[in-house]
Amino acid sequence: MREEIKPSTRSTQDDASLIKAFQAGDKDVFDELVLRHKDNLFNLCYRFLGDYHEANDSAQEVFIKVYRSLKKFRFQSSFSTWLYRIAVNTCKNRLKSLDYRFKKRMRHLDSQGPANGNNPSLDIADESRSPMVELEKKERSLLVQQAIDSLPGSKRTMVILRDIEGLPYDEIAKITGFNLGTVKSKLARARADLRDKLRRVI
Amino acid sequence: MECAEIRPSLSEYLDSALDAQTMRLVEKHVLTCRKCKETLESLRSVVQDLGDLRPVKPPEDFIEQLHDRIVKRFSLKKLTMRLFVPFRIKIPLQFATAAAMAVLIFFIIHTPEIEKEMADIPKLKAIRERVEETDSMDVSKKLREKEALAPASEISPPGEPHSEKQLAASQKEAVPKPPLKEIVKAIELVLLLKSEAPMPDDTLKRDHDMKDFQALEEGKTRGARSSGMGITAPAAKTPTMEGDGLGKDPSIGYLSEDGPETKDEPILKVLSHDEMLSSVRELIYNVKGTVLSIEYGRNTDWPKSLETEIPAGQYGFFFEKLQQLGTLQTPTPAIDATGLEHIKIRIQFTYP
Repeated sequence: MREEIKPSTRSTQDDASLIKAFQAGDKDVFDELVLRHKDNLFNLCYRFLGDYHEANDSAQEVFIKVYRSLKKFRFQSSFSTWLYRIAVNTCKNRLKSLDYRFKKRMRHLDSQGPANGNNPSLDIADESRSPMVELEKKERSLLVQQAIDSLPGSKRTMVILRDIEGLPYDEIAKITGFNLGTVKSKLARARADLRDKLRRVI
Repeated sequence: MECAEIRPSLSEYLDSALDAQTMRLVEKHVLTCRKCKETLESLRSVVQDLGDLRPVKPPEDFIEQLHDRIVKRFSLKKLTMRLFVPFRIKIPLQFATAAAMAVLIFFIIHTPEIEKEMADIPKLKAIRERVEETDSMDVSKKLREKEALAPASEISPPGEPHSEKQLAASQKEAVPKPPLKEIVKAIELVLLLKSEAPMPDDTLKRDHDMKDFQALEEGKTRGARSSGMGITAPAAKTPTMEGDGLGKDPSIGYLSEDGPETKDEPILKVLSHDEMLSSVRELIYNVKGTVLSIEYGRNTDWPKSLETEIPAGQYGFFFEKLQQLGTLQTPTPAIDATGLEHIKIRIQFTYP
């Protein structure tokens, strides 16, 4: 691995060729893979866990797992599908862990107000909008995130993968391992649940 | 189509994931059904809200953090591999673990035993003392056993002459033994002390014998005094042992050996334990013996036993006098004093 991040010279290469290079012994290509996917992956982790630091920790854990297992990657699915599958499983396990539950409870007790002190990215204001509109949007985002947090794991996965990450149904089916019909029905129920939750607060 | 059939398809309708025919049916129904239209709009709003969520970016140093974690994780793994995987290191580590476990198990097993042994020491002592105090018969048994084990040349039943075989055997056994002058015979006796000490009729006679004997032995007037109880020994004239108080108190009741009036009227005197002990000590002193140790009872402070060493030649006389102080509950071993220099005697006192 490189000690310093250099401008990617392999940006034109697709994931498969980078992986082959990695498997051939060129460990530097891993950074290119991370740079390509880190934003989407981080966003997925954040929406799953609802906490910036937990998301950062989980996203790094996902990339470590990828680094460890990339040599065994057999190209039976796309790299992004494989990456998302690892990320979903890691986040689900994190949700189940007692450590996460304890931290979540402490966060809930610490911050009863609408401000999200754990998310530096939410503090960046969009200067194109008025402060009032921006505040309203922030409040709405927070409520939506709280509604997502209240969903059970599989429904949360569907909503995040489809409506936040914008993945197609068949890709979601590959990532989650459900068949297409199950994905559709789960997504429909998840949206309905979210609508009911948001109708009460918005 | 009915509303119940349409509503499950609304989510897919939003994603345009229905086939063309179903899409048209839903569109048509929503135009006519206000409730289903509201549901569709609310779902569309939710999807829009989710889509409007601003993407959250990772920290700028995300990749550096990742590098650090990978380096730490994999260097730790490498270290672990180095420690445990190579054959030459793996075996010693296993042996070390086994050795450590063995030491641990040894201490676990043995430590409580030591503590238990330590705790049992006073108990055993107490039990031994109790047995000695209460069951004098056991002691006499032990004595008999000792006598049985002793060589025939040293201890023989009174009046029973040695057979030729025994003599021959004893001579054979005597060959590797140390010089005769060093032989010290040890015996153990149980003496039931008398609560009162009347002067027996023949006491004076014995005391005269004693006087003659001691005059012969040491040529001093001191030895002419009686050591037996019930015999008057004027306190002022009686030499005392160190610190025993003997002779300091005239009320002890030692009788004058020369007084004809006391000879006719034996004085009955109840003796204290200290006085009895003093009498025994005086007896030992008179036969030129030495008191080796005195053991007192734990609770009563009464003398429990006394260990003494007397010249072997005085053995018969000592026993004769000792029997005046109490009743011997163990048979008196007949000892052939020839060749013996001293006899160690342990006297166990029992009280009426």
